[in-house]
Amino acid sequence: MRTLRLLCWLRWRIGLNTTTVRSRWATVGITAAVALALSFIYVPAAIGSYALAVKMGVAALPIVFGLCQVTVLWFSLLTGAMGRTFELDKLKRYPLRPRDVFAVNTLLSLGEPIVLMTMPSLAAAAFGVARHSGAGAGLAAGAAALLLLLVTESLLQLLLALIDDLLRREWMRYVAAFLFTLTMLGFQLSVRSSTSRFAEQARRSGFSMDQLLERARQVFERLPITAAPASVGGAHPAGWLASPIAGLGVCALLILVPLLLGGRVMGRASLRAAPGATPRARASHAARGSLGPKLPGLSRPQSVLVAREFLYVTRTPALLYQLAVVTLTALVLMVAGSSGNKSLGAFTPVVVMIGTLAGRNLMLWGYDGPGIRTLFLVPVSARDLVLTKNLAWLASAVLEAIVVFGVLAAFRTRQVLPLLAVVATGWLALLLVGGVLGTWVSVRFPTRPPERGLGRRSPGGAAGVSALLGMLALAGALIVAVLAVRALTPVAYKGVASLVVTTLAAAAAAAVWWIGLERNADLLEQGRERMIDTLAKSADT
Amino acid sequence: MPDTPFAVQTYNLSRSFGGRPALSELTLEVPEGSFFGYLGPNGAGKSTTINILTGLLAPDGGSARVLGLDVETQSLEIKRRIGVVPDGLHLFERLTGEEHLRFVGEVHGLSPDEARRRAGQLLQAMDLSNDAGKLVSSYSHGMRKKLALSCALIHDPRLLFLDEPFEGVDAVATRELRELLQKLVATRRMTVFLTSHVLEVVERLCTHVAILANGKLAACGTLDQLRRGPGGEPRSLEDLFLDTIGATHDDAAAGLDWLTKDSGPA
Repeated sequence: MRTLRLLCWLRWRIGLNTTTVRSRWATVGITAAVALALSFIYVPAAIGSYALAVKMGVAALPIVFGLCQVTVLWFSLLTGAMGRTFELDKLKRYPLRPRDVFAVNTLLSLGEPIVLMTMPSLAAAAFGVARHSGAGAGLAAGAAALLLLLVTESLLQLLLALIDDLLRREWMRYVAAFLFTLTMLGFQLSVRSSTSRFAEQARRSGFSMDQLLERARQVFERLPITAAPASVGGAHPAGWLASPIAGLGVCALLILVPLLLGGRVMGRASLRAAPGATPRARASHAARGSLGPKLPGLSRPQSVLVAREFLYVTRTPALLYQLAVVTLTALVLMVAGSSGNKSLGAFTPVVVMIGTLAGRNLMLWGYDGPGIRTLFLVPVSARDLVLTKNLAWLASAVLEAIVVFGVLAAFRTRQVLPLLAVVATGWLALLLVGGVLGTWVSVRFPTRPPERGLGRRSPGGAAGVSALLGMLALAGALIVAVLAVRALTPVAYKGVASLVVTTLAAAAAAAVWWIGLERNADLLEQGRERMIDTLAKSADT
Repeated sequence: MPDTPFAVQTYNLSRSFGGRPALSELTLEVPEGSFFGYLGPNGAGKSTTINILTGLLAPDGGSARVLGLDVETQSLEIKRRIGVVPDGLHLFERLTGEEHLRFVGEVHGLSPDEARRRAGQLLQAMDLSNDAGKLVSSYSHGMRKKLALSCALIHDPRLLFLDEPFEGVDAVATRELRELLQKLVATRRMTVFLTSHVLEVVERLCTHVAILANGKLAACGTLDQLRRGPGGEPRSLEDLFLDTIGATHDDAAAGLDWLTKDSGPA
C-alpha cells in the first residue's frame, strides 16, 4: 500500500508539474466532450444490460461480463497496447519490487477510458440483478463485476509485459508489432466476415434474440476468465465453476498468477539494454560521395538536411513502421473491401491515408530527440529547417500514396481510373494543409516519442486531436464542394468539374503551405527554447 | 566583417526564467585569441550565457556581439564562425559518428569531399576511428564529448564555446584535448570560451577568467591580475573563486548526525 501511495503521488506530481492550469482545464473540457460524444455507445449498452439483467437475473451476468471483457481486451490491445502507467526502467534504481509496480499498473489501469466505459454496463447489470433477485444478489453481482475487471486487467497487464519484453529487441519489436497489427487487422476482418455469415445463418434459420443471447451465454460460460467472476456473482455457470467458492478460487488464481508472473517478466525486461543503445557497426556507405545528392532547387546545406531526414527514417524503426503500417492497412482495406461496382467504395483505403495526415506529422522533430539542439546550432535558417522537414515528410507521404494509388489502379482499374485524378488531387490538397497544421502542432506542442515500444503518446495533446478533426473536417468540406459542383454541372462535364475543384483546392493548399513555411519558421524561431527543453532535456516520464 | 579586438562583447545582458533572473546585466569583453575561463557555481548563469551567445536563447534585455556580429540579428552568420560543445551533448543518436561529423561539415558549407577528409582526420585525432561506423547512441560519454568537440572544429571556427568539455572524459583524453586546444589558440589565434568546474584545468589553460555569481559578473580580468589578492599577495584560483562568490566554509555534515555518527567498528 505504501508503494501504491507513493507511486500514485509520483504520478500526480508529475502530472501537476508538467501541465499548466490552462492545459488542465483544456484536458477536463476535452475529456467531458469525448465522454459525451461516446455516450451513444455506453449509454445504450448500459440500458441493454439493465434490461437483460431485469429479465434474466444472474443468468445475464456471463453475457454482460463476457461482452465487457472482450471489449476491454480487444480495444486495449488494438489501441493502447504499448502504454503503461509506470515503466519499471524509470523506477528500477529504487528499492521497489517489480511485482508492486505491476500491481500498481493493474490497479491504475482500472481508470483507463475503455474500462470506465464498461462500468455503466456492469453497474446497470448489478442494479438489474438487484431488481430481479433482491439487493443481496445485486451486491454480489456488483462485487463480481469488480472482480471481473481485476481479472481482465491482470491478464491484460501480463500480456503487455510479455509483449514489452519481446519488443525490447531492437528490430524484433517492430517485426512483432507489425505482425501484431496484421493479426489485429486479420481478427477484425475475420470477425467481420464471421459476423455477417452468422447473421445470415441466423436470418435464414429464424434465430430469435433470445436464442442469440443463449448462444452467447453458453460461449462465455465456457471461458474461465468470464465464468469465474460470473460464478462469484451467483450466476452458477454450467460445469465445474458452478459453485461461487470455485469461482472465487479461480478469480484469485487469475489475479495472483499474472501478478507473480508479470512482476518477473517486467523485472527481466527492465534489465535488458535500451533498444536504441544497441551498438551496431555499419559498413560506412558514407565513405563515398556526400550524405545525399544535391537536390534540384535546394542548396547544398538544404539537401544535406533532407538527406539526414531520410537517413533517420531508415534508422528509426518507429518511423519505418508508421510508413509501412499505413500502406499495409490501406491495402488490407482494399483487399477486404467490397468488390461491388461503386467507384468511390474502391477508394476506402484513402480514408486511412487522410486520417494519418494529421498523425505522423504532429511530431516532426520528435524523433530527432536531443539532436534538435545540433539542428539549432548549425548555420541554417529556421525556414530551411521547416522546409526540409516538410519536404522529407511530404516525400514519404507521396511515396505511400504512390504505392496505394498504384495498387488500387492495378487491381481495381475499372472503378479507380476514372476518379483517380480527382481523388489524388484532393488528397494532395489535404496533404499540403496537413503539412502546415502538423508543423504548427510540432513546433507549438513538441512531443518526444517514448523511448521504448511503439508508444501511445498522443502528439500535440488537444491540439493534435483538433488537428486530426480539422483534417477530417477539411476532407468533408472538400467532398461536399465536389458533390455540390457535380450536382450543378451537366452529366458530360461532371468529371471535369470535380477535377477543377480538387485542382483548385490543391493549388490553394500549395499557396497556404508556402506561406505557412514562413509563419511556421517564425514560430520555430520563437519556440526553440521550448523544443530544446522538451526534446533534448526532458525525461521520458 | 567588423574588425574588433573582442571575440565576445556583452552589454547589460539579462535573461530570466519564470521571473527568476538567471543572468543580470552582464557586461563582458572576451579578447580575441584568448583562452577565456568562464567560472561560477551551479546555476550561476554560465550555460545561459553560452546559449544566448550561440543563438539558442533570446536575451530579455541588453545586447551581445560575437565576433563583431549581433546575436539577435546575425545569428546565422555567427553560427558559421563558431563551434560549440554544448552542455548535455545533444547529438543525433541515430547517425554514426562519421555521418554526424560529415553532416555538420556539409551543413557548414564544406564540400562533401572536404567534409569527409576532415571528418576522417578528426576521428583519427580523437581516437574514434574504430568507432566511426557505430551509431552515436552506442557511444560512451567520453566518446560523445570527443565527437561533439570534433563537430565544433570541423568547419575551422574562429571562436569555440566549450561548456564543461572535460566532464566525464578520461585523464588521457583530457590531456590530449587540452594540448589540442592550447595549440589552436597559440597557432591559429582561435578564441576559446570555456566553462569548467575543474579549476585546475582552468588555471592551467586560461589566459583570462571571469567569475559569475547569481547571474552577475563578480570578477573579470587576466588570470595573473585576478590571482593577486587585495594586498598584492598571490593566491590560488580556488581561493580567488571561493572569495569571489562569497562561499562560507560551512560544515556540510552539520545536522547530519544520523549519517555521520560513528557506528562503531565494522
